[in-house]
Amino acid sequence: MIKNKKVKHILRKGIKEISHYVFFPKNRIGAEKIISVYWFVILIIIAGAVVAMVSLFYGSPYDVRVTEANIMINQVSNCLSENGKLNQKLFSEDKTFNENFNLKKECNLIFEAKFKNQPGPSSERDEYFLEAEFYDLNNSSGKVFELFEGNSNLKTDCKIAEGEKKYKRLSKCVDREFYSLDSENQAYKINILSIVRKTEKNVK
Amino acid sequence: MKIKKRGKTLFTSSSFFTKSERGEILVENVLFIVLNIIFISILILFLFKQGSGAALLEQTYSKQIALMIDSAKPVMEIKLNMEKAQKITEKNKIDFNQVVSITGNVVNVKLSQKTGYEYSFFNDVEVKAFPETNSQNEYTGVYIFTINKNGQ
Repeated sequence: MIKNKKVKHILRKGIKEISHYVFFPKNRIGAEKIISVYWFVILIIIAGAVVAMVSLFYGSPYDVRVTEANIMINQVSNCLSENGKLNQKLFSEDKTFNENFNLKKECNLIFEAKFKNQPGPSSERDEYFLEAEFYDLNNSSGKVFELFEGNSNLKTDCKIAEGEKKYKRLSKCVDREFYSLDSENQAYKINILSIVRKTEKNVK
Repeated sequence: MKIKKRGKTLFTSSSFFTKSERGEILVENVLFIVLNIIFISILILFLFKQGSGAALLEQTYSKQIALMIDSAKPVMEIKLNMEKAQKITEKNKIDFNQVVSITGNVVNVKLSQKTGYEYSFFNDVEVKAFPETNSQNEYTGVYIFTINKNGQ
């Protein structure tokens, strides 16, 4: 049976006293106490630290928003330009940009999601924003055409965040560009901005 | 460690590895080592269990499948190795056929009776998911995803 016994040890010089609790008192042979309460305190501290670190690590969800935004840009760029030539549907009959080009429909995008476990209007809110800007490289006037889809309110998140870690709860923004030609070999720079919110699923 | 003077113990340190004067194996030392081994084993088991838990795998698979569908183009057939999920479903007594379900553009992965994880994809395609079976009609641990244009 484990017995707590307060053992007082007197230092050789007799000035100080050291006391500690011992679970196992001296046996008949004179062997010493072994497992002191200090050791259990250390074990509890180590176990607590490990549990805390593990739950912190595994408790936070994987953030896949940047990957998702990049995949979306790939899909949109493949849809807007194929083999280095801009999609013919982007232009109307008079060779100007088609204002009625439906980015979601033409690029097979769906921005609404209905979750079983999260019913209500919040789950149907647009979690994405997509913008494509067209710049004429032979014309210094700058942007000649733009297309956008999704929740435009998310665009403000990009300006606030700017990659700061402390703003991880804001939407993730990815901005990429590529070059393409139209049917008359006119060169364009296309800048695509993709924003993914999905904060609840990716950030704790 | 002991310091003796005139036959009396003056100081005893709290060191666990005390030398027995008579060269005996102390029961307490053995107990101490055993307890330490048990403690470390529990910690390692805890770490392994946390890393392969159903909740974590549900999230991983759900996001992986959603990203996979996002990158896919019609008409594609994608095979995903889900052996880890299969082992967990066997433990939790869930049919492997019911692990992945796709409703609209939402992927739902369920590895236990009570849990489940959903993640949406933006690619507007029709996806069908079913587990692969061998000639004996047993599950191989692989899930097959077929990607088609919506409405086909």
